[in-house]
Amino acid sequence: MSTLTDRERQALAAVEDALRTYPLAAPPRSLTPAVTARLRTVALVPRFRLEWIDLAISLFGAIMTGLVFLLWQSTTPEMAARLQIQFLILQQQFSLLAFAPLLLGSATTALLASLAASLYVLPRWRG
Amino acid sequence: MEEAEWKLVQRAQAGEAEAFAALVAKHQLFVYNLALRTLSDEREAEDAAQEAFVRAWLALPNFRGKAQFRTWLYRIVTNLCCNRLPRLRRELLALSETEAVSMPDDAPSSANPAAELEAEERRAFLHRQIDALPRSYRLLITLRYQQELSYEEIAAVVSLPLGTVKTGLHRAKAQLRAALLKYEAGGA
Repeated sequence: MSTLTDRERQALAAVEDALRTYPLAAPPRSLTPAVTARLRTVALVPRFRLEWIDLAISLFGAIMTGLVFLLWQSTTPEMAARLQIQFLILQQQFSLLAFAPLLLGSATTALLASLAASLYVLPRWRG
Repeated sequence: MEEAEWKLVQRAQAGEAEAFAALVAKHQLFVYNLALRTLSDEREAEDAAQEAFVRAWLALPNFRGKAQFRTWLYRIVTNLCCNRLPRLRRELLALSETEAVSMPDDAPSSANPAAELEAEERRAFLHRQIDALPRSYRLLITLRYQQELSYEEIAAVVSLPLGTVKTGLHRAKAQLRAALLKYEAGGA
């Protein structure tokens, strides 16, 4: 590293002083009102955030898609034929009444889930 | 970040324009000066400052508070200035970091009252020289001495390595010092 002479040191001190005292220019008075006026014309973009539930749902979706693909790939012709037969039998014996317990159970679960979600969200919504 | 400022930022993030107006009022002096020193034109600087605040408002929902609000804001201003002056980015990138640089933070100050008039004259000369520096140097100097940002913050604002920032500031000061020595040699 080079050593500075006294003159250079004084010059450096003068430079430091000038840099620190370099004056700030006053901003135009119209700046803040102009910005505020422009803000009224633009809508605030809602915050994009990935929550844990988004990631969980994505993971679940990806796994299920992969599983369906794997099952489809590993289905033997015999299994496919059996599935086809089962489907045909189901079609022939189809009756809405047979599905009544399943539909009723699903509807009740959905209702309870909605109620729980409402109770969770409502206090936050009111602020 | 200050507690009060962080609260203002959070309120602004929730869409409260008054909170953002308070942030504008607080930062407008430095935002305008940063644009002015870089663009060297009052109208351009005002326009850039307005644009910077509008962009900040739009990008505010994505601001997570990991960096200082002012650092984040100055980065927007710097990017806007680089967009308006494509040469500025090239100038900044051209600042090499190959030089070994030592940055004395506390340079000795002149404390001789008798030399005050002479010092005032020198200061005025140096202020003119600062105005005549390349834009990239003026940008770094403004961030360092007017906004009082640390080297790390400046590096984050201008997206350059720390060494490049130090080199840029060192060269700017060396240029000013050389100009002063020449001026004094001519005047003596």
